[in-house]
Amino acid sequence: MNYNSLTYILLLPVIVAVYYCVPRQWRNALLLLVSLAMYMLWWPAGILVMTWVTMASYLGIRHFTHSKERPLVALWSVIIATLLPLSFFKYLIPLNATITGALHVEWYLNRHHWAIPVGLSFYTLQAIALEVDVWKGRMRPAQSLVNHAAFMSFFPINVSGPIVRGDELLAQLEENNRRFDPDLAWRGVKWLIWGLFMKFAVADSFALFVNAVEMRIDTQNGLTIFLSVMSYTIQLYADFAGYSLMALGTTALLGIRLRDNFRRPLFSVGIKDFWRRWHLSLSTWLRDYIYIPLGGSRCARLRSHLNVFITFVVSGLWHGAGWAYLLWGAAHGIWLVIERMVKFDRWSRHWLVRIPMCLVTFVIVALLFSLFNHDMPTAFHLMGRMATESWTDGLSVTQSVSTVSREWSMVTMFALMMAKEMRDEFRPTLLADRRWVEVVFYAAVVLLILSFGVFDRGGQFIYMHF
Amino acid sequence: MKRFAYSLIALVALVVVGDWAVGSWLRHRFEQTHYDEIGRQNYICDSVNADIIVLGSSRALHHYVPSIITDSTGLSCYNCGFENEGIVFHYALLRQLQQRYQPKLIIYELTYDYDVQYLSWRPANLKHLHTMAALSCRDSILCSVKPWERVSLLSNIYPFNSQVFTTWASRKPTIYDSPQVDHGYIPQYNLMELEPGWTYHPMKHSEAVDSLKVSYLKKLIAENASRLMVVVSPRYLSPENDIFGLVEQMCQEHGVPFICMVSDPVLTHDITQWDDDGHLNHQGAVAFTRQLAPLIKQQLNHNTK
Repeated sequence: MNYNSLTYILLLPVIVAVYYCVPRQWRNALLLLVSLAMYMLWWPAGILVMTWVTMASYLGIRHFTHSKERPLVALWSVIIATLLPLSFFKYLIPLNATITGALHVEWYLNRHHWAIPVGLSFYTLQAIALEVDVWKGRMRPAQSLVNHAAFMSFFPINVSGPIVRGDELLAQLEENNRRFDPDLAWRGVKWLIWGLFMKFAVADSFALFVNAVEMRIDTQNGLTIFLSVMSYTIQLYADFAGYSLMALGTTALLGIRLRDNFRRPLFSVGIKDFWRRWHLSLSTWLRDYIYIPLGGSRCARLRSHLNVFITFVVSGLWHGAGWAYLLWGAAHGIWLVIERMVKFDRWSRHWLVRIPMCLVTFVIVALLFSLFNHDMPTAFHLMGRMATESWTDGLSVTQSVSTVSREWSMVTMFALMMAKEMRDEFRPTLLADRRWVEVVFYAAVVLLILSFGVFDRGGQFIYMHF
Repeated sequence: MKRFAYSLIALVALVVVGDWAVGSWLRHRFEQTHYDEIGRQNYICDSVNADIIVLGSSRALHHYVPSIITDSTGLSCYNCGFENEGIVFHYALLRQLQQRYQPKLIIYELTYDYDVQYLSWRPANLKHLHTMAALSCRDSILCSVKPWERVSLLSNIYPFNSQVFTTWASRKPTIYDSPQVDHGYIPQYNLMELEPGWTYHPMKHSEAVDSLKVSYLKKLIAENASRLMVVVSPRYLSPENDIFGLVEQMCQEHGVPFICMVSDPVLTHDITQWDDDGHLNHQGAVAFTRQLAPLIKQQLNHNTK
């Protein structure tokens, strides 16, 4: 079920009400039921994959917690079992298609054109983190299969994350004293509304522009392609951050606190800063389960740089099995290594450096994100056209009244989003905790969503495809 | 807890009041718009009373010249074609017109992808349909496309979603209001240019049909059998005669003439008649309408008998 659909918005208050009405010991079972039911609405057979990952991690964790010794091989066995579906759907099937295509051999693994089960990349990482944490003794295993399964399938996050840790979600699910927390619930309402605004009014408005440009890419001039590439990054951010806020909002209504997944990445100065603000649940996962086990920064400088590079290559591969993702990850890795080598942190403190560097960071990040929604040849074709075609003729997309109005609406909604982001970044105390201001503000945001939101795009989130 | 409850109630109350106020303002702005596509829609819904009307997507809008039809038949004609709109919208538009008067002849320009074929995206984006508040069956049509629309329509703003800047920008005349516009027909004066190395790629039509579109097409044919003509105008270099079997059969069942000129030997191969490979330019539209006019007259004569 789409979490930005009217069905979900109408169903959520019912779920929350039932959740607080059932006895506390039944709440996790209820969450599990709701999560499975909602997940099955995407692709019923996907539940088998989720069950595999859940059971592999549950039984594996049980196995090594019940034995006195915890050999590394036990952990690796569990991790491999957990990774099997991800490897099959995300890597083996595309690899098989490439190889059989190149060899002209008819031996397709994916005869029925299965799509990758929704959220597989997210809940697989979640399971691995739990397995490692329990193995290392940082976390206790779940007290029951229901709790473990509720953690793995938790409906607000099982489609596109955030990738939560055991100490973050499982620990809260196992506390039986969850009560309705009015302050947390109010924050949840605010996050939900703002998440919907980011998705409908910002991300989907930008999507219309990006799609209009890309549909006739060969007739567009350099400026239009450049703006489209920049727009895609804004779309991606608003789409994913919007989803994350809706997930956080839903969990807050259920009395569960999760950490932010984004911290205003459009204000990043440099790539290190960017990764401290963008998709935090993934970047911290990569830090804790790839970078640090590789040796992190507590080793020779060259080795440390290599660790950074490897971590980002893994990040690229996590997004998909294509060369474009690999290049995207490698480019981020190289950029971060260069920043570390030139000690960018030190000389980027002055605002005179920060402002232009913020713009430069955004542009480079956006150019690299063009690898995200294209294969390599298309991305390079795009870059080539951007560099060689005219930049002085204005926009080359059709300028009818409706498209100009759409562009105005897109820019206005972006300006509003940025105004709030600037307030949150630079003056977070401005009008903070004044409830009446918040009520008026969020009521106005709902009216803006109704007035400017794009409701006919199907409402899918971009990160669902990763 | 009380604070949360009060905040939530206040939020909902503000949204309800704001929705009513902003929605009413948007409706007023919309109804007062006289230019561009919105002005055209308002005019068609409120004022058109032509004997012959043309319905269909952009291919209807740019292919049928009403003055030629009027000269040939002696009856008034208006082109009610709409860009990017398919059968669902046009069925609704006809119903809206029929609430006021009954046209003598309805010419429906069939565009296979918009009117029959299943597409993962639905060209009928419902934008125009939402704003047709005077149409008595609007809600039921919208619900047949999206089951939850009835709930969405509780909002006063929702029907005018994304129209704020459009109504504001429609204060001045646009291409829809230029002096060349002939009773709703919008001429195009470009000449199609083929890039060096261009080769013809026939449009790929999947066999899957959209049951919703087909059901509305059936309704249109069944409810207007005595005054309907279904026409397929030419496409550049098109050999697509074989995809219309289903429509032809539906028309036959109800005695509705189905005129397929998609591969018209004169127009489809003459590049000077085309604006792009799906749309005739003005010269082509005139030639096409002249070819069609006797058939329209013949149909009118048949109807009067």
